[in-house]
Amino acid sequence: MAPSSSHFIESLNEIKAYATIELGEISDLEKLEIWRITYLGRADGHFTRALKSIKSLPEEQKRSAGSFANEIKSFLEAQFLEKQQDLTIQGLNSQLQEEGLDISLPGRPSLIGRLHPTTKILREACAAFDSMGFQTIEGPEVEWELFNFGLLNIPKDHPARDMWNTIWIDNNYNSEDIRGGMLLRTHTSPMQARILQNTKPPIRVVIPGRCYRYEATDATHEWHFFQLEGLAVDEGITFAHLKGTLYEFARQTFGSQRKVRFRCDYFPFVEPGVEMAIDCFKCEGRGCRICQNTGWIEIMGAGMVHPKVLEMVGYDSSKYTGFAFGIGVERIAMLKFGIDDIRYFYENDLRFLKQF
Amino acid sequence: MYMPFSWLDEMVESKLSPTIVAERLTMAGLEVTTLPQSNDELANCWVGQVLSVEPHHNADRLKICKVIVGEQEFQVVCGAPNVAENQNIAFAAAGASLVNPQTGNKETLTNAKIRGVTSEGMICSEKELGLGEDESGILILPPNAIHGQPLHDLFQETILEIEIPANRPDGLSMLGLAHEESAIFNTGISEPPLEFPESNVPITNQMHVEVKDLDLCGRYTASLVTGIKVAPSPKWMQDRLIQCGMRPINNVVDITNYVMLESGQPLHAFDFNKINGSTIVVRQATSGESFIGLDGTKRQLRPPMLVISDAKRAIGLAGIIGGANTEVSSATTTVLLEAASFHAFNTRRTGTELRLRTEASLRFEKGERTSLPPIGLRRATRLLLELAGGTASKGIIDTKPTDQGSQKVKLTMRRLVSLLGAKIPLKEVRRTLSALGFNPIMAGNSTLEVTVPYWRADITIEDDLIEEVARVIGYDKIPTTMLSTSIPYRKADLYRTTKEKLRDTLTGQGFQEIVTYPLISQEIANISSDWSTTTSEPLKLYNPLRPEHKFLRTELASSMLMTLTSNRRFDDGPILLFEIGRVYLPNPGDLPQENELLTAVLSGPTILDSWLETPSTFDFYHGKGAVEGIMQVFGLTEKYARCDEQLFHPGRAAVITSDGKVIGQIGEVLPHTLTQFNIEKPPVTIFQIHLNELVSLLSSYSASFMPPPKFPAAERDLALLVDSNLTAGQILNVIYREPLIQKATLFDVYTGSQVPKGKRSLAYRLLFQSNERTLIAKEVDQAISKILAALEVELGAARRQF
Repeated sequence: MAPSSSHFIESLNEIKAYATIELGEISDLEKLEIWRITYLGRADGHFTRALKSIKSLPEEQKRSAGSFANEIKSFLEAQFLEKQQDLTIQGLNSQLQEEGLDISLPGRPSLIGRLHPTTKILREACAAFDSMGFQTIEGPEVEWELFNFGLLNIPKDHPARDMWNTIWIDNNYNSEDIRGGMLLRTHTSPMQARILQNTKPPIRVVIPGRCYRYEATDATHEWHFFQLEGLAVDEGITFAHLKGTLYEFARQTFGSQRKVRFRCDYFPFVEPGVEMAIDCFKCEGRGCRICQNTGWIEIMGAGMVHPKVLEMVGYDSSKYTGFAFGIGVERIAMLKFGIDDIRYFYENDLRFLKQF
Repeated sequence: MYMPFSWLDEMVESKLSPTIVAERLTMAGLEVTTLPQSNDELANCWVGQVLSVEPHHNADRLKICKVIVGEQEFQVVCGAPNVAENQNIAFAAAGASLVNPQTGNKETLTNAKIRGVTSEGMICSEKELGLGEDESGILILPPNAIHGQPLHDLFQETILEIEIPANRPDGLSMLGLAHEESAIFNTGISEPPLEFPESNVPITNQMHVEVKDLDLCGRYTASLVTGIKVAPSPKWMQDRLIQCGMRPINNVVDITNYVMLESGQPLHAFDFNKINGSTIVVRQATSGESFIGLDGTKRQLRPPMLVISDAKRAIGLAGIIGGANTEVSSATTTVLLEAASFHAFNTRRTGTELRLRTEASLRFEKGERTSLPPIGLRRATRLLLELAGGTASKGIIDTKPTDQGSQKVKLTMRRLVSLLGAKIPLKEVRRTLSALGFNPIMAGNSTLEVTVPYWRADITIEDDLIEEVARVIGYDKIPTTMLSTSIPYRKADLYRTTKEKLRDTLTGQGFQEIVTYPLISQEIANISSDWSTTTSEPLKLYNPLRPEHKFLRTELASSMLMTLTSNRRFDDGPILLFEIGRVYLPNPGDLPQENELLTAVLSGPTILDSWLETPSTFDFYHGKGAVEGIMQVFGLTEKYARCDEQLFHPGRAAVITSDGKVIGQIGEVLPHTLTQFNIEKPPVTIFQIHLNELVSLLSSYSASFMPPPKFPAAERDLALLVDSNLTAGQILNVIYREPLIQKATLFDVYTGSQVPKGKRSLAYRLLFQSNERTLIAKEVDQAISKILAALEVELGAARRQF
């Protein structure tokens, strides 16, 4: 039987059909390579072999058979490339899959250090006052009676001394010294007199520091605690400025949604005297245990610097006025962090400290 | 101060609710600390008395109580921890409406069987009664409550508890509080009547008073009433005394207390027939004079304590307590009433020394006006005649007061505006002051001359009056403005920024900040006396609160170790702590020097169990690494030298210096010291840095820019064999003398079988670099040879061949 074009085409179509079916079943690059050699291999591939029979075709059919053969070849090559790309991507993907980690396993440990809650609050508070022009200064914790009491308009035997039960240095109780005895300062206020003596107005300072009281300890009282004292003295400072400054502090510390209350209170070194409270965030001012049913929580004492305090350190009280305040630092921390017992602060239990 | 609201209501015509009055009093400076409670719903609740408490056979926590209520006895099952025999308690019978503490809702009580035992009612807590928040136990009623009394009777009076500031003795009286309320609400006030009928016999014929110390007794007034009958006082008076926290005794004593509560003037009643020579002498006690007070206690007195005496002996401790020898008894028929002004500070000092504080001394201490005694005296005399009968002598004894009487203070509107920053109309200022009992008279256009009422001893200067106006008008009416005065220059504070930067660095390195008490015990002081660089004794306290807080620390390491100990009880993991705290170095004749130290401790495994890494233990070199890190943060170069600080292991400690200054120490704590602090596992490393020294170095330091090197570096490894006692520091000093060396890093230290005994091998990675050119191999080789030669000659080191 003489070779004919139709026979040739039929055999190519057969190759195409087989090749396509086999290609569909291939799932790795190795088999794909075998497939390539089987069908498209130059030396002995099915296609190459089929091409060889073109020679025996009548001359006038050679051209069309050739172009048909090229068509089939291009088709198979394209199929091959597509499959090769697919399998490569699949291979990469499965490699990434295999390299996957259990991301729920813990990481390499790093040690975390935190600031003490008192430091945190002091930093925030000092920053709030810094933004209003107050410089932070510190002072001695062991003080003279004169600075802790006398220069603050609290003479010896004044009943107001009951407000500050004092821890004295040995051999210093009832001292005859002109400066009185040495004591552990009961508040940061002694720095008021020291600063007034050493600085010229305008004065705006805050003084953070430890204070000590001869007092029994309970959930809301510590014998050792921190205060943040504030003092502003200049010509033209008014009670309205006191309210504005402390209101701004409260807003920066507790947010603008808290209400602030100023009421009259007594401290011998201010006149008029002020107690500042914020509305209880536990009960929103309705009254609960935390605020002792009053709806308000006291956060500081304040007032206009008493003229006698100014005069005792040589200021003309008709020219200069000012205000002072004393903030209980732990109180602020307790409110902000919901701590219900002040005794946690200086026990230094890491289970407490690591929460801040 | 307890204030029965009905008493206030009697004097002030405001008829406002206790809640509103309480709120405004608080705002004006008299803080009401317990708010009024409503109590209309105490039906079926009675005062009961616990007769017996037996355990419940079927429940550990429950008790079976017998309660008597009037004629009737009840059996009640009770779970409160504080129930005890003979207590007066609040008993609720079936039908009472009580608060369920769990839900907060009211529920009606029924009789019930509790674990097999019938309970015929309930013993209630404050919370269950709706009287307060306390639910920790049952409400204990005062011992003078009578069982069978409806509970409602006991609580029908609204009692406000008020905190009176130290400068407001007037707040310790109903009249003072009434003046306050009337000023705030702008209503009238009715003061109690003072007049009484007198006999024809002048008091001066019957007795004689002499005040020997006019400074300590500014005024002495007295009245004499004969033919009285001592008996219990009427119930209304007893009720009020109880409500104010005082114990009724008899009509005479009760009247003196009642008038003290009403007017603020303390009074005393003597049995006149027991007074020798019908004479009263007010004088200082003699040294060692003994005196027995009404409390039955004998006390030794000394000048300048003030006594009231008769012709022979002391019969009263002025302003504090009466004498047992002249006490009013049921047999008393003639009473001498005393109302005086005693020196505030002297009364206080006497009370403090004798450890005796009474309702009377509490008031004198705060300094009362000398105008007050005759008012209190007349009021008490009138009540005495009304309630105990008898006849009052004609007139009263009254020594002239030593002060000017009524105080006058000027108030200018200019000062008021400049202090408050608020323009309050003159009219309102006058109205407010008048309402408070002041008498403001115009003295010029905008100046008032203000007469202070007799009950206000605290008003002495202009600013006091300004506070009066501001507090009554309300601080909320004063504007709120930001400071508008010039902002002071704030100089950069290197000390503070350094301190805060240290905190950030240490926390970044994993150290937890702690804050410890600066006070230490005798025991710790003994241990640490070997350590600290100072030799002087720590400052001792006169009145330490507890033995563990007796001295002011001179070092921080003990605080650090104690904190480590307490945390080791429950924490086996890595513990890194630091504190920036003060030490207090005694300074004879002056305040101690308070220096700040950074102290840090490292202890335990470097990591808590990890599936990835094997932990090592924090040791000296971890500490040193932290210090090196800190120094790098501050741009300082530091050196380490052997340290003989007793706290540390002698071979594992170093003094840290920079620029020739000692800035701190580092070392592993001596094992013996760890034992003293109950720390079981060494090593514990401590380092400390003196803030003053650090800051003084920093003040002369500023970072200066160096361009990054332009030419490549050449790297060579150099292994040396050296004597074991030669330090790495000595070798490094020699290496760094070579100018082409850019960096030398020690990467291996070896001792063992590969090197001879007594020797060790140190291997360095050397980096050579020039700013001018690329180095050629020959130059580098020459530099290494130079280094080796120097090491050989100076330190006997040899190059080690691998």
